[in-house]
Amino acid sequence: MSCMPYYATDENTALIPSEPAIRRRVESGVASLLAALGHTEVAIPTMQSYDPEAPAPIREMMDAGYKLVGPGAEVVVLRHDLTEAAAAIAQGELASSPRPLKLFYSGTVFRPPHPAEWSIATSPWERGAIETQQLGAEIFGGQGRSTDVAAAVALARCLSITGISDFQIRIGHMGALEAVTDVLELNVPGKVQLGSALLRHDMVAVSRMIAASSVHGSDCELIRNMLFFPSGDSALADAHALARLDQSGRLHEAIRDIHAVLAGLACCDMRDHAVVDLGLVRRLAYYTGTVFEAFTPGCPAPIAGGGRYDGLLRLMGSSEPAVGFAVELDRIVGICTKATAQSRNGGMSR
Amino acid sequence: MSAQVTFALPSGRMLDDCLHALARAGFECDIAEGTRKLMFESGPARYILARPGDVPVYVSHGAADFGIVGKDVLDEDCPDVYELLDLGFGAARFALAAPEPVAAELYRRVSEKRAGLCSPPSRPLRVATKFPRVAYTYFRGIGIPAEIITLRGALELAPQAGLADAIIDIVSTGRTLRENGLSEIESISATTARLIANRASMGLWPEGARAVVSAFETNQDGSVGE
Repeated sequence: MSCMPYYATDENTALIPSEPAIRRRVESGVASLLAALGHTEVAIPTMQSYDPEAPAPIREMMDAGYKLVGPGAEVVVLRHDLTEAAAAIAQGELASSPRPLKLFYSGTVFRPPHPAEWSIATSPWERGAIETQQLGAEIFGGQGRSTDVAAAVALARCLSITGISDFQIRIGHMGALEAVTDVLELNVPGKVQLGSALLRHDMVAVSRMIAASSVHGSDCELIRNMLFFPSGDSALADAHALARLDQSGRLHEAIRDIHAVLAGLACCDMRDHAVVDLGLVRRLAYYTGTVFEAFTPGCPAPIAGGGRYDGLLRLMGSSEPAVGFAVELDRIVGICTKATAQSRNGGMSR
Repeated sequence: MSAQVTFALPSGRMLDDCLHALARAGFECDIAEGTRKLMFESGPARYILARPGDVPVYVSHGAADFGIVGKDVLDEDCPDVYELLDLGFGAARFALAAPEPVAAELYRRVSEKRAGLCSPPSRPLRVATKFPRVAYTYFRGIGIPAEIITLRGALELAPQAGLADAIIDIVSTGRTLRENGLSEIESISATTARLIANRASMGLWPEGARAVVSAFETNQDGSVGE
C-alpha cells in the first residue's frame, strides 16, 4: 500500500530526529528549574472563545489571530498569546491563591508571520512561524522591583541551561521611553510614530524626530545614544544626564528599576549577559515597566522576551502587578541543532 | 560580533559610492577591477559583495555586522536590522507612472483621494512592480483598489504589452520612463543609501558599533547622518 505524503504548510515543518529530543531536554530542564524557583505549572488550552466585547487591545490580538468556526457557528481563536491566558487564570481560577503567585506553562501559539520577518528568513524557526512553541513564566502580585529582578534572574538561569552559552539579555523600560517622549514634547501621533520607528529599528527616522524636536545640542546626542546603542553603564549614564529634563521623575524611576535588575543578575554571576537597551520596544502593547529581550549570535530574532505588564491586568479589571517572560523553544531548538551539526562537521560558521 | 568587523556591500551601481564612504570612515577596501571574488579582507575589516537585495539578509543573520543598502530594499523587505545612518548617496525615488491617457486619469483619481473626495467605483488598477509591499502599502494608504503584479525587471514593458495599467518603480532621473512613453504621476518616497547593522552585534559589541557609526558620521561629506 502506498502512503499518502504529508505536506506541511510552507510556514511550519516537522521536527526530525534529534530535534524532538533537544526540545524535550530544553523543555524539561527549564521546567525543572522554574519549579525549583517556586513556579507551579498550569496547562493553557489551545483555543479561546472569540469575545467581540473584550477590551480593545485584547480584542485586537484576537482579531489578528487564526479563527475556527465550530459546528454551532461559534467562533474560537487559536491562542495568539499565552501571557494573556495565564493572566486570566490568575485572575479567575487562582484569584484566591496566595500572592505572589508564580506560574509557568508551555504551549503553542499561533501567530501570522510578522512582515518584518517573513521576507528574509530561510527557515521557519527564524521567521516567526505560524505555529511556535513557547515556555513561559509569570509572577502575579509580587510587590516592587524585586519581582522584576526575580523574573530577570529566572530568565537568565533558564537560558543558561538550554545549552546556549553566548546569550545576551537586553533590558529596557517603557517608563524611560515615555519620559523621552515627554522630553521631546511629542503629541500622541508623535509618540506612536517614535514607538513604531524604534520597533522597526529605524534610527534614521528616530534621529529626524529628535532633530525636529525642541531639544537641542548635547541633549539630542544623549537621547540618540540612549535609544541607539545597547550598552552597559553608558546608556544609564546618558539617562541620568537626561533626567534633569524629565519633570515626571519617570526616568529616575526607570533607572532605579534597571539598576536593581542589573544588581540581581550580578548576584547570580549573570551580569555579563545583560546590557541596557533603552530603545527596546516590545511588539505587544501591554508592557508598562521593565522589558527584556534575549539574543544570541546567528539568530536574527529574540530567543526570549518579556517584562512587566501591569497594563494587561488593568484591562482585565485588576490592579495586581504582573511580570513574566517566554522562551522561544523553536528558536532555541534550531540554534542547538545547528550547533550540534556544526560541531559534528568540525567547525563553526559565524 | 567577531574581532574583525564584516561589511556586506551591494554589488552594482552603488558599489563605488560605498567604497568611497568606507574609505572616508577609515575602512579602505581595494577591489581589483574586473575581479570576480566576492569576499575580501583589507585592514581591520572583511567585505562581502552581495546582490543589493541580499545585503540585509547577510546582516540580519549575522554573517555581516554592518551593511550598506538602499532604503528601497529596506522598505520592501522590512529586514530585522538596525537602520543607523542615511549616507546620502544613491538618491532615487519610488514613483507611480503610466502611459497617457491612463496617467492623466490616474492623476485625477489620486488627487481626488488626497482631497478626500469620493470616486465612483471602478475596476482595480493593475500595477506592475518589483516592490509589491511598497505598492500595496501605497495603494492601501490612498484607498485606490489595485491588483499588484510582481515582475523581476523591465517594468516599463508591462503597460506597453498590456500586462498592467501602471507601474511603481525606482526612478533616478526619469529618463527611462520618458523614453518608454510613461509619465510620472506621483513620487511616493525617496530613497538613499543606509548604513545598517545586525541586531545582535549592536548589543554584543556596543562600543565597537558606536565607533563604526561615529566614524561614518564624522568622516562623510554631503548629507550624512542626522
